[in-house]
Amino acid sequence: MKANKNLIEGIVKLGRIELALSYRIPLIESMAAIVAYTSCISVFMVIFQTIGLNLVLSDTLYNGPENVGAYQQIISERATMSYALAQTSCWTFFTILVPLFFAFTLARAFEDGTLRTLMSYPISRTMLLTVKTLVFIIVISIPVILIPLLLIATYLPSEAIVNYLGLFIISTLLSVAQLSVTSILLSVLSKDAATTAVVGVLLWVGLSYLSSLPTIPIHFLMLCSPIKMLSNYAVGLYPEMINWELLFLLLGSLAFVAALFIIGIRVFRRVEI
Amino acid sequence: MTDIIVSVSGIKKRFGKMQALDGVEISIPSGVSGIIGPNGAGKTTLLRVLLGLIRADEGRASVLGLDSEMQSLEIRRRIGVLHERPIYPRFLTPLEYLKMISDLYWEHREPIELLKLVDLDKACDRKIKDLSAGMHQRLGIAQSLVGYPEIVFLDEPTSNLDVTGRNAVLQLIMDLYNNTGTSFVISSHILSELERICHNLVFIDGGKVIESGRLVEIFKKYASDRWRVLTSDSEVLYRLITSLSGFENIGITGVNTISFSNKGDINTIRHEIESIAKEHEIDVYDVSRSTSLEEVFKEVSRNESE
Amino acid sequence: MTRYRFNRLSWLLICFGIAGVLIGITIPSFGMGDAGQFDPDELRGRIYFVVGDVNVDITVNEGGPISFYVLDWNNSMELVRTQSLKTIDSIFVLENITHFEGIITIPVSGLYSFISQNMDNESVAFRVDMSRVLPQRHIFYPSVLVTTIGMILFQAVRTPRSPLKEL
Repeated sequence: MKANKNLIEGIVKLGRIELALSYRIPLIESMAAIVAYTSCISVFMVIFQTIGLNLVLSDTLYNGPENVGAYQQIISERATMSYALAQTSCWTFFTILVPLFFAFTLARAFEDGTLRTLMSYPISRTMLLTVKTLVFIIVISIPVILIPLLLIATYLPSEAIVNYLGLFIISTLLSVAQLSVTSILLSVLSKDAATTAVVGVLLWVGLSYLSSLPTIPIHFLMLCSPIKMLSNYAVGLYPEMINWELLFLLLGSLAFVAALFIIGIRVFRRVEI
Repeated sequence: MTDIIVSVSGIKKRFGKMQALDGVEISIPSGVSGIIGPNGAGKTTLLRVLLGLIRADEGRASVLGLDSEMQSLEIRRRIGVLHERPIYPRFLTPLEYLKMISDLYWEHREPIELLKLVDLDKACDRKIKDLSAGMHQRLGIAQSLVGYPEIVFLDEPTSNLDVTGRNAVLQLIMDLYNNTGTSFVISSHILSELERICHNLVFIDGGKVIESGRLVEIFKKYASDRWRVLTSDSEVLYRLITSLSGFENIGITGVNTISFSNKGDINTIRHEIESIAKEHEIDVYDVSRSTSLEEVFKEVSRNESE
Repeated sequence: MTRYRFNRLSWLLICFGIAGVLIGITIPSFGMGDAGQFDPDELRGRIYFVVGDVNVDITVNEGGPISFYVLDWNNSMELVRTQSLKTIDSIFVLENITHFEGIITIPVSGLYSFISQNMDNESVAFRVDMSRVLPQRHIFYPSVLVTTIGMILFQAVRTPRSPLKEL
């Protein structure tokens, strides 16, 4: 129990240092603002585009309460679509931002000696990388998850329910984790900011292009972009998919991220600083 | 004073085609110790091996009896480090930075007390980017002392400093050793500084240890029969001295200085040199034992190459 | 740490403020409106997502006057349920008009329905064109305020210039 408490305390303390060292003013603020802008515009666009509904009035066959229920259902569908699109829009932006971020924090730290200074303190390499990844996932995922939700709650009626919210949150966390661990692995292998940035951006832009192809197999899509796959699922693009298939894909994606992370840690533990 | 704090045996490290360390063997006792060598000699690489930042290709290194590769984290809990040209968060103040670093240690000094110790308390609320080079270096020493270290490793602690800044840092190291009893291992290529503060020395060149031991013993070994002459014309005097018997390893060390080895006593040597100089109308201002570390290093290097 | 936190806060306000200003002036715009012919006493309406005020242009091409109502979401659903405007509170009403051009002030952004009713005994041909007014004041002005507060805070907590830097 005490060991767990110490571990959590250690992670929190190191997290604060990571925030101060890597998220220099105004990096975190700019990132959050860009996420906010992208999410807002996406949410607004979807709502504007999809809510232009005819009112059922003067209809001799009308059933008032039934129609009201239908409207509420439509509004929930639109809210779900807005949320899905806001997240996938942010995803496209992250494919550029995440490799650049790790290039200029982790890979750059190898070059300018910051990492050497940091590793002179009693910090284990595993802990450092774990905290770095955790902080990044939290910093990025929270605005991506919350901002569209906040907008939907603000602008749409209280009846509007975002369906599959749990799935959206899991897919966001998975996608950001996947981008982060890949970028960390690239940073640690190359120890060079420019290489990490260029290779990382090209890799993810390439994968994003592949994942946008209509013929792309769903398993590949799940591996390279869980957020896109689950958005597609939420808006009804895979009507034949059953729950256990989805669970299997999610676990597969999680295993992929975990494997990449373990490789990243093993490489980092051996890397020369 | 006789505890061995750093022990290295048969360390080899190669970076591509360059052999950075080639079978280094040293034992450093507690106190203030210096690792001396020209740029590229392997001093920083040795330090990185000791801290567990890089792995040696061969050999073993231990700090405070702990294996530097397997127990690096434990070592870092018990030591402090100041790297060459360190980078700290520029937008934080020294106080904020030290508070943050303190959290990483189980037991730590109070940041404000540390700033007083290194005479930086008046600048504690300035941003790090606004500190002078000397203040920056003092902050570096302060951060290395946060966790009550048993040893502090300083890599080129006086680089980028002017004469006043260097003197202040050296004085600080001496004061800290006297007041806290912390051992220091200082890597530097500026020999005149180390001879002022070190008890022990390790000479490194080309990735090899060419001499190590207590400073006084090294001086005794290499500087006891080494002499230096201050003259009006070193070139002519050099030619004259080479013709004398008993004078060995003669070298021109400056426009007005030459040095040589001679086992004779001071009166005889002075008489011989002054006589020959007078014959050729050359002025000799001083004949004295050469006791600079630079001379000793040259001597050691010469012996090694021979 | 306090000054550092205020510094971060000021940057947060500035960045979010600028993002808000950009949203306020670049908010995407799609066509809104209604047009067609409808029978005596017939009600027609469409629901739109409205952010900020709306510029409205109503023209009756054939026949006699119409009435125009703007309802919020709850009242819109009430209208769907009851099919009658008698018990409905409108946020904007124009009765018996053949032409109107002006700005309708929307108090809170959200979903609104725009209802037209034929007040004539014969069928009426009409056209309603709506567009948003930019900058969208509900987002734009608060964002300008947030940016300004951020800048003031930034100036207030700024570190005094180091004498060393001035040397």
